[in-house]
Amino acid sequence: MPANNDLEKRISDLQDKVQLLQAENDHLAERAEDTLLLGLIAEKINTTEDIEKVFELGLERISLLKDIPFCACCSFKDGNLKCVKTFFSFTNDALQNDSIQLPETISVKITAGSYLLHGEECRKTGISIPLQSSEYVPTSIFFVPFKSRYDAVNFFFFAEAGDEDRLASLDLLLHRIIEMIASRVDGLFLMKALKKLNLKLDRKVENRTQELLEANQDLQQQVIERQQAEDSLRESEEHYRSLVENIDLGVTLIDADHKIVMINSAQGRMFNRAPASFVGKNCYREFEKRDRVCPHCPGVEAMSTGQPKEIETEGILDDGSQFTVKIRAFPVFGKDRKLEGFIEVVEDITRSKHLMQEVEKAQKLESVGIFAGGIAHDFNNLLTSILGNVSLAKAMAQPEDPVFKKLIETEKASLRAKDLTQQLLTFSKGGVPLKVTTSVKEIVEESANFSLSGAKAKCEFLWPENLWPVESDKGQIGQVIQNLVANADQAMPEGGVIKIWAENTVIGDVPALPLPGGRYIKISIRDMAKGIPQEYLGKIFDPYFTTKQRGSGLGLAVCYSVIKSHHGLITVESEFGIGTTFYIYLPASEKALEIEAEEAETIRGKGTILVMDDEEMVREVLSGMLDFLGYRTELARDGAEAIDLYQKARQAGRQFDAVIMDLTVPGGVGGKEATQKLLELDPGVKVIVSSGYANDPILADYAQYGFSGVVTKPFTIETLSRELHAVITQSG
Amino acid sequence: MNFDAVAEKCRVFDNRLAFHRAGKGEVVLLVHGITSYSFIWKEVFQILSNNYDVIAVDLLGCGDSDKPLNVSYSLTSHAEILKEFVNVLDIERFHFVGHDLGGGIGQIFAVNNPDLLYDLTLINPVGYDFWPVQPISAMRTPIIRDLLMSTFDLGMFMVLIKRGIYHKEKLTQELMDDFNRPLQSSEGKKAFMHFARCLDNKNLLDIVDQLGLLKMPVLIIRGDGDLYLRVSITEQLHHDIPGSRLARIATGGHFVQVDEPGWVTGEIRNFMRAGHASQQ
Repeated sequence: MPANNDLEKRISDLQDKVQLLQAENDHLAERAEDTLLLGLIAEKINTTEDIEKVFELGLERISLLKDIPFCACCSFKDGNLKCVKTFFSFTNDALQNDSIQLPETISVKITAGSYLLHGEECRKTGISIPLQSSEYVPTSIFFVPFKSRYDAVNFFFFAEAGDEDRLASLDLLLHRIIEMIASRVDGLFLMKALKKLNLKLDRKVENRTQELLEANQDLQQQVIERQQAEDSLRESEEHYRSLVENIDLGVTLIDADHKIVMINSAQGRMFNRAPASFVGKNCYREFEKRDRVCPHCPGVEAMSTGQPKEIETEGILDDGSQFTVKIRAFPVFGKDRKLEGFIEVVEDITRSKHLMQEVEKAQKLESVGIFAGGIAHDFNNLLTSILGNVSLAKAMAQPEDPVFKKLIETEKASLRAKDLTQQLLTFSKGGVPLKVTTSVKEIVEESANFSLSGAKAKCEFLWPENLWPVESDKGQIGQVIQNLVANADQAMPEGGVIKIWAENTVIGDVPALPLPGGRYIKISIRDMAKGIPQEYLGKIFDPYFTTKQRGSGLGLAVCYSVIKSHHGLITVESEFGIGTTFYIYLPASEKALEIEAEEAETIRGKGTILVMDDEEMVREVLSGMLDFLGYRTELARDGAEAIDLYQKARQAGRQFDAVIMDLTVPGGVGGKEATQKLLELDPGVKVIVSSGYANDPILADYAQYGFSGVVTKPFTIETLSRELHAVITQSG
Repeated sequence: MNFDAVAEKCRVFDNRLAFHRAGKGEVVLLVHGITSYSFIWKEVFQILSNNYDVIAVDLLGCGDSDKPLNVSYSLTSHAEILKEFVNVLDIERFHFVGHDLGGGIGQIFAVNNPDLLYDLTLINPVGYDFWPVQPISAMRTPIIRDLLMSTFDLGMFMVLIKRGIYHKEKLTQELMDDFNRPLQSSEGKKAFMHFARCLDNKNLLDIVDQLGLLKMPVLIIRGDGDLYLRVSITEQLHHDIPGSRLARIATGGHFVQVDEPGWVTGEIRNFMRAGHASQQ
């Protein structure tokens, strides 16, 4: 049967092939399982970072998935196998103790590497695994070395009590699993070491960060403090800046090379320039127009002595005009007390200096005035006697008598002397003017013409139509005009024209003119003489200053005093070789003009007159004059004697028709006091006050003091007779 | 009754069995299969306990019951343990409801202890030669490998359970957590492997002839969506057990009591009432 044999052979071949395929399939299946197991183990051990957990998970999966009853990872040392982690798939029991005793022969063998024991060889070793409740005796044992940085485990230990050959078949797989676990453990070990290092670094960073934070906080605090300090400094600087800018003094900071570093607004205003235009430039050039350091520079001395220095000097503007300044220089020290320059505090004292000069003048005038007043008083009394006697003699003489002419000359001279005395008295008392509202035109023209009578010079006048009236003492103003015109005449010995003109003007508050603002008239008197040298201009109003050989030096001083007492101002401009102009400013009046009464002739009378004067010669001349006029007189030396005489007369039933009282009785009762007493005795008493001070305010308002009339010494017989007649004939 | 409450335990032989019990009336014992435990009966338990004294037990080595590895987890062994269990609870007679391996245990119990049962309900039961021949290699045997891997691999576990459920929307996280819980520990994994190694078709094959002699009412329930146990098992059982009733539902998977709890409970209740009535 060949066909059957073929068939059987073919079936046999097929069966062989099937078996082969089966074996192949089993092999492949096993490889797939191993791969799957490796994957499962890898997946799980990579989810934990705990090294011991890695061993636990690995052992569990190996045991359950590969059906190995006992798996352990151990530490083998000095022949002792100590179990670190174990897994039993067949029991929940635990090891009795963690050590498994190994025979020495086995210990030696496993140190060489992997070692598999199975079957009889295994049984001969007597190795057993002691559980808590039983003993596990394996039939197959596999030792696999474990190499990693984790030195607590250096062996894996697998045991099987069933199939003796099973563990051998798992050799390759178990090695691969253990390598995988070792790799993971090493990774974790390194990670742990790295973590530890990181932790250390973290701690270092943390510490450092903390240090930095603290340092930062300190820094922030410092920044805050610095900011606060800067704010305070800024505020302080602002205050100082505000102070420096708002102060009405010039402040300049100048370096050691005399370069201007800083300059405030006030200083800029002084020089009519923007402060910025000075910065960086030399102070001596900008302030005093010099090419080199000022010889008087206070900064030089301040820097050399280290002490402040004060001077007065002249500042020069760009247009050449000058003004007086007081400079106080203070040295400026920088770091380490190094000299860096100086600060100048500058005050414009032009006006105050001018005012001080005015004050000095006034003081000089006052002192001279006091002196002059004393002389004028005595002189006036003498003059009263002289003029009185001359006047009396003239009244007694006949016009055709040769002596009459002499007496007229003498009277004229006496009157001139009286004028001089009045000037002195005016000067001494400051001359409280007896003001009336008047136009200066007549006074000026009359006084000027009077002054030029017989002179070569001529006056030319120019008056506006509506020249404002002024409150003025005509006599005093007349004096001023006389003096000024006389000076002009004297300055033009060959003759010339003196131009006098006036104008209305309104003055604002200008520092150049020390006058309050308001309406003024301005009288200008200009000559064509050679002018006054500049160096004298500031002195011409000083008492006794004169450049003439014959001159009292009081004329312009009196002018100054009179105008000042009228609340005006007198100034002068002169150009040497050209001429001089005086300017008189007088406050304008709001009142209407007043009209003046004219003089009358000698009037004789009757009656008894009581005369009181402390000067004997005055009493004598008065007595003579009264006798000439027809009156009987009684004389008293002072007010007390006058009162006594008056009382006795009344007691005797006699009456005085009038009393002539000298106002001023040094060391005794004066006319004012005596008159008060007489009025108490006799309210109807008629008293004429007599005084050498024409400008005495009592004379100006005599009625207020109980007087009935006034005569000014020295007086003429005509003046005396008229006043006496008016008083005696006065009703009431 | 709140099924989430801690299970009761009672000592059976040297170990403790965990169980949930509620309701009044005739006792109904619910027995689970492999990969699950008493939780699988939650919804059926809730409904049945309205009319019956229902006990859902965790087999030894499963759920919250003890997991000794020195005790056999064969179906025959479980049947004996359950006999002692009802004895400890002083239960004279009861209704046996078994799913999967529980169905196999039920067959053995019914054959060996017919007087203790009112009736027998088998839900997607094992039978005959359903299990691979021992000894099995865990990784070599697909079902074991899958089951074992699922204890290590949650993804694989989800796949396994998902395959057993017909209505996929019922696969909630809570359900997954219930399935997964006992297998998270090494003890649980070891017990599962031990269970797998102890299973022997011989236990069920030996009682095939005795199945034909059962006098009690028997209900066989199959979710036709079961991918794990072939339909021939249920059909053969229905053939071999005289007077048995077969109830099938297309919309149920292996875990049909999860897919269609109302229908399952209804079938069981109706069966028990009818069976009881006929006995009376």
